[in-house]
Amino acid sequence: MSMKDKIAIIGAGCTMFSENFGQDYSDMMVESSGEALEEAHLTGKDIQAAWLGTAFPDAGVWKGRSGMDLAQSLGMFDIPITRVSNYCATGGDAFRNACHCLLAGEADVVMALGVEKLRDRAPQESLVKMMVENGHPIMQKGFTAAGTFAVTATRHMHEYGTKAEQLGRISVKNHRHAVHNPKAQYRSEVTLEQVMRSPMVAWPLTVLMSCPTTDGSACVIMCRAEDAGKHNEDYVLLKGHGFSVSTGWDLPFFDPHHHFTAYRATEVASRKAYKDADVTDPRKELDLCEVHDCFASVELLTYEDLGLCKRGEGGRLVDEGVTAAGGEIPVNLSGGLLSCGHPVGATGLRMLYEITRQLQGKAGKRQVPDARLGLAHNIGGPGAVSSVTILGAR
Amino acid sequence: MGLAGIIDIGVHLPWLRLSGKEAGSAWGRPGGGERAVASHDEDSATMAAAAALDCIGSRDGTGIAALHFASVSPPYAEKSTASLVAAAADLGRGIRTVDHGGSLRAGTGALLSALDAVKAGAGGPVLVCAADCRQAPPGSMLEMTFGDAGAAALVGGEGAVAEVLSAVSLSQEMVDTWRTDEQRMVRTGDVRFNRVEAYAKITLEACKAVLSRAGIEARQVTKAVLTSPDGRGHGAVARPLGLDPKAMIDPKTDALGMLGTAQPFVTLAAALESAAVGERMLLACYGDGCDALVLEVREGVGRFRERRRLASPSSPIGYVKFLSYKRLLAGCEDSSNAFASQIQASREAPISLRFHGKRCRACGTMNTLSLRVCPHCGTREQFEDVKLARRGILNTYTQEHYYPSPDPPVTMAVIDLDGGGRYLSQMTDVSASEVRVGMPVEMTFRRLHEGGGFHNYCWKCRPVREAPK
Repeated sequence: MSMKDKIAIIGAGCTMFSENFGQDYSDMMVESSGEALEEAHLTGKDIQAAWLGTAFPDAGVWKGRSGMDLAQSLGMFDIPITRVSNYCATGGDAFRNACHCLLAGEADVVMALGVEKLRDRAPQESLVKMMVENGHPIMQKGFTAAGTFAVTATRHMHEYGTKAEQLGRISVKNHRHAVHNPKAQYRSEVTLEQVMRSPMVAWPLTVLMSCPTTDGSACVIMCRAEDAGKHNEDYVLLKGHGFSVSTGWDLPFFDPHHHFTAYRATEVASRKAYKDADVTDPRKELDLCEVHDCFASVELLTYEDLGLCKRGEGGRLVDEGVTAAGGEIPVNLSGGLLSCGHPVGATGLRMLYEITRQLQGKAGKRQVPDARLGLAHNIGGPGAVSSVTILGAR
Repeated sequence: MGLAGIIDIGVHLPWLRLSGKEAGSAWGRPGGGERAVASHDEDSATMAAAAALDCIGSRDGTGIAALHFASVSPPYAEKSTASLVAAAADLGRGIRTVDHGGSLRAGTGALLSALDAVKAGAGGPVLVCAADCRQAPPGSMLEMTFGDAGAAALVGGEGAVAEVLSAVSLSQEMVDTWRTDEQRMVRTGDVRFNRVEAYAKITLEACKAVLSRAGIEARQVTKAVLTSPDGRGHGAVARPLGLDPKAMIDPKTDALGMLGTAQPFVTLAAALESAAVGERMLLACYGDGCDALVLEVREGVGRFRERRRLASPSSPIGYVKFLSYKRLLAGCEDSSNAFASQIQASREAPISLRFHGKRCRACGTMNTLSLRVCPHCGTREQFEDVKLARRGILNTYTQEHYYPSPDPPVTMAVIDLDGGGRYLSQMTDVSASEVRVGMPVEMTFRRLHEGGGFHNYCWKCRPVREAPK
């Protein structure tokens, strides 16, 4: 069933994506939901069901193991609240579940909120330590998150001649974009030389090709399209959505049929979203994309997975400036995960916030003129899970 | 009593060498020679497993009746290393496993037990593994004397290339080399006393007795494998015994160090590489007594010539890293505190220890995860248990600079195994700059971490290296 034009985002909110040392897990939820509720002219009492996206309660402060953490923080009781966890695609999945609730007619106004508090610990104490200390005692020992993505970059370079400098240029582009995003963690331009010479994380990915460890929260409030005008005339419409789990946590590295040059989950999810939205030529029809550049190589592969170019041509797209601000299809005008950072459960919803502001014409200096159709792409695990959402202007 | 002898010998020399010059410069004094150094992920169990697999080669290991493991530096004080090595070498479950230790004579003790068993009708060949990585006090003479290595000998009646003609064992209580149950480092007493009084006298006596029992003269011995605790004392036996100096096989102590219980096997392998049918060999090993054997070379010895096991490729290690690998550098101990479960380990042993895969009977996909449903075709519970190849080609890789390791960066390798199956592992014994997509790799059994308070072992890969010319 196509989701086109059935659901509207009537409010969106987002905290600073940063090292929010002055805010705890709850404080950030209050801030992001406050912005969204205000925009929708609602209070917490009006929300009839909610989804809380937090991927890694154990990496930080043991918050986000259950929907009750949203209820307690926002004073929203006596409604169903589900905690969603689907690795880095958690935000996209929280949104999807909220949409399904509306389509089923079970509630009229719903909230999807993502939040992650990683920086109550040093970066290496959270995500790196998680890989070192937890998980299977043998199977992936030696990998960090960076490594699980780096192996795809290595294979792409081997098969298509993609150059590390092309990955570097993605980082340069996204950092340049972030200068205009007041909510991004890093707002300074970097040169290609700085990117290439920054410390190596997981070859061929350097520090500046990797997203930082970040705190943040983002929130969207939705209702069925026919009710949207009652709450907020400046709403945006869901045009299409696809979600796919296409391999596993360990499987890609042990599956002889897996090839490391594409993320199948994104191919599957985007084809479903395009079908919903009647998009046949995404490069021409989409006005902008927010894609999951947790590492620069992921953005490059995602160009190909989304069909913005042919397989193997992602590097050329970067070289030709097609995806830069002012280009044919700008990608990550927010600065992406590379500049905004990646509070895991919040990221997918931060992308929807960004696309919403663009479609409302409220994106300030990063505004795409007359943006009508935008795509948000959020992946999880070693590229195993993918959420693709297309939003359209009213 | 049937005939019994050595069918084959496997050797594992670690990749790393510490030069005496490097160790000496750390202590502000001259030094020479080199010693073999076990890497941070090696111990006597992993080196024994590597030697066992080298020894078994393409033979069917399931017919092996017993595995004897000998070491004075086993990874566990309580827990059988022999059983661990038998699992890693994928031997049958119905075998006898015995652990030997106590002195450097444990290796030949294990060999003599194996020979007795074969003569008594063990029901199949017996594998003897000996490996050591002994700890010496930093800066001491022993530090450059000791070397790390593993060796394995397949013992049987049929197919023996070195048949045992006679054997003699003498026991001698003597405090000359020791490590109490509370000490980590090996101690030695007076150098001259140890060589002349403790070692040479009883070794000479045992050699004379074993030659006499075989009915041959010392000058008829054309290959002599005499191991001594300091690697250099065998002249004190060879001369009075009347051995032809040309018969002495160099134990290569200056290049490898004294290799503990593995020494007699490694030197014997070297002897067999240049041996001709009919040659008589004398082997003696000291340690609180002496074991001596006379062997005669048989048909089939030619295959040793091509193996050239002692021409192993190597790479230098710096002194600080050496100390860290030996867990002698304060603050560099394994602090990973990784989750480990003895229960999970026992469930997953077929893959993680024995290195077996599960081939789907429906679609033929070789699965290397502990699965019940084939992820490729969805068929449930239709797997055939298959031995995975221990060689493959590197499909893709990365080098992790932030993952804690004694040897950063950690190379993570995705391997397409020969004959099917994909496997993810760390690559070891490698310099970062030599890793390439498409390079051939071989699997090697290694120690991963100390999670759970026990040793967690796994299969890693390493580059396939040609022996230097």
